[in-house]
Amino acid sequence: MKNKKLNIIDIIIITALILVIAAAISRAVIMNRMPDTVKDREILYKIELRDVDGIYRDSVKPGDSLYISEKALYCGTVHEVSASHVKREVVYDDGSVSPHSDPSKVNIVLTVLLSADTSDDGFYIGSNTFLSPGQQIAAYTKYFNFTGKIIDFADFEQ
Amino acid sequence: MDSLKNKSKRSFNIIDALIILFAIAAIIFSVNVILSDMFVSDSAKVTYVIKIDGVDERNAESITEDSELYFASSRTKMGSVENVTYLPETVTVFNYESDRFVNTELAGKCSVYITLKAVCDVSNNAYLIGSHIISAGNTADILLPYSYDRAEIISVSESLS
Repeated sequence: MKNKKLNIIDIIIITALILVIAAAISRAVIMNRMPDTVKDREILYKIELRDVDGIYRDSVKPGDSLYISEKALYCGTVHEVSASHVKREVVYDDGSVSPHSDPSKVNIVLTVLLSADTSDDGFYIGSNTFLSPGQQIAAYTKYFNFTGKIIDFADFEQ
Repeated sequence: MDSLKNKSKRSFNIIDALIILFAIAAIIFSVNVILSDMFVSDSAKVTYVIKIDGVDERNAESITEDSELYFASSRTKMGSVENVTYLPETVTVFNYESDRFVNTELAGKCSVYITLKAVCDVSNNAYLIGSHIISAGNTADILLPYSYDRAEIISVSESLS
């Protein structure tokens, strides 16, 4: 029986396969070896929604599930909601400036509970979405969607 | 003749097997993606409220509970109008005499609040009418009896009945 020699197509297919497998393995290894990464830790992180119309004040409630808009990826359950009126600076005729509450606008802070892989700087949603304080996030519940800023995250202590 | 027989009886090698495996994986992946996109698995009865600002008082009354409202871009029906409420439109200004922000009415202008009931598709934990996401915080261009306007979805809830 005559041995069949590899042709160029076979070599391309084998090379592509090796590259795909190598990429998958390296990604898994990098994720697991990432310094200071702790797996499956329960955390609370805060999202601040600034200058929101007051009619949306009660649009998010504790217990609502939260999803990242771009990927429809679960990113935690709302644990706590707090809201306060926006303060605006008013300039008086004498040049003095004083902050006053605007009754039509609120700042909302959502505290969200999530089990995630964490590092010193932030945390992972799924395997490749990294979130950290200072980052803008577009997210939604079943009833409300918004853009906010992550302002803090910490371990959840019951 | 022998060589022809050899060619026709050539057995599968590892490369052929890999190609077939790849093809099967690609087909399964494609079918999965297509099915999840094409066939929304669930639907729900939803009640939602939209708010339209800056409506002339004379136009406000033309929006009635019997009206049908449509998305302007797709001509898709938004749902059946359950309730219409008119309130004077207000803006927030600073009143130096009372030293605080106050809400003041805009003469001749209304804010119209319309409650709609619709059956929505549920996909990725969001309610959809066609391609329109029914979620508070979203806006939609809608056709009204007198014109078209921009409406803000201000609340959404799932109907029990």
